[in-house]
Amino acid sequence: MKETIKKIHLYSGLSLFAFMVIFYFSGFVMINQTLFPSHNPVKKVRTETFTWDGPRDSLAISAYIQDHYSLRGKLQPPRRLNDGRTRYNFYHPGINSEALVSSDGRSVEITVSDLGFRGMMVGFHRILGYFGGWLYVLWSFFYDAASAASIVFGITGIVMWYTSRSRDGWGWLCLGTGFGLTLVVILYLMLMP
Amino acid sequence: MRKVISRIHVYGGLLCASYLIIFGYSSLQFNHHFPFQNWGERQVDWQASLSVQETPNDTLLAERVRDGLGLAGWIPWWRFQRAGDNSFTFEVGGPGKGYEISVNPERTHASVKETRRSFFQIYTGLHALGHYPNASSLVKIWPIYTQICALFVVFAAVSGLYFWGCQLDKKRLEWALFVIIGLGGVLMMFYMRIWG
Repeated sequence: MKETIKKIHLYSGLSLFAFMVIFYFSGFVMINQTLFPSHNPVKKVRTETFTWDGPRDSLAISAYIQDHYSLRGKLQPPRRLNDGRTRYNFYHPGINSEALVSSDGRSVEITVSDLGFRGMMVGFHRILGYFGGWLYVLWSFFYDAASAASIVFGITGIVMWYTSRSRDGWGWLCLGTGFGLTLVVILYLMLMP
Repeated sequence: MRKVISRIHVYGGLLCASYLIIFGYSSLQFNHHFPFQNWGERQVDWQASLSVQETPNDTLLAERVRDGLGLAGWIPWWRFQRAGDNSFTFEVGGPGKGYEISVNPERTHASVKETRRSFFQIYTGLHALGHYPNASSLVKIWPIYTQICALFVVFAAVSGLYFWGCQLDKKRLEWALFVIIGLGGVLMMFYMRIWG
């Protein structure tokens, strides 16, 4: 049993270390705005003619825009604006591409924004959902795997420590501090204003 | 040196085990939206007398009302609503509770719809609970803890690989996992950044 738990800890670490590092480090970047400030994105804007005579299906139009205008990234849900234009966003870590199709459907304004290092980290942290092409589906799978591994690391780590000979008071103190703080904060948030 | 790294790995892991579980659960929730997430959410209506100075600035007025009622949380400006009779409605969003507050035109009375978040919502909220207005000192400790844990995981990954690297009898399966999925993941990130 002890060996199995050790193996689970080791195998999940060997396979998912890169994803664990990127998810936690990007989280650190996101909450440390002073260390990693966001800057105004560098934008490139161009207007092109838009020719689409296919079905009005938004997914088909999105695929056409992405392919025809060489836009990279994961498609976000299209949105119809109040002025009649339709906005298609394609997002990938560090770069956001936006295609605004005019209300008459004859032109498209394309804005490609370079979001910099912080934007890249936010992207790695926030790209979710099983859609948007094989790369993003695969990313989402590893996102889930790393999330599950995070729970596995927490539990197997405690079990490994508890069953080892090096179990001591400092370990109990660390364990108690982490779980104690969590419990107190949850109770506070549930009961206080 | 190896002993020191090992101790940091173990004690840091024990300290951060709770956050690792929170991070894992909440990340899965963000990707899958579990149906039981809202179980136990409750709404309570209450009223209170107020003494708030009027101002044409909606943000300032909302802050005065929130502070006057002794509540904590962010105030989303896009939810401000001033009616024709000058009554004012806004929301306060806290990690444990949310409030929809209606203030009468004289600014002497508030009707509050309080939403008490479920255990799972609060648990998920700990994923990235930062500073929020009128937060208690206790809650201000949480962001420090999360930052320590975020850095610890990076350290744990590197030190874990170091311990594995020091082992003499590495198995084929371990190499396969490390090279195909581990290093493959690094390549995938580069691919996604450059061509994704």
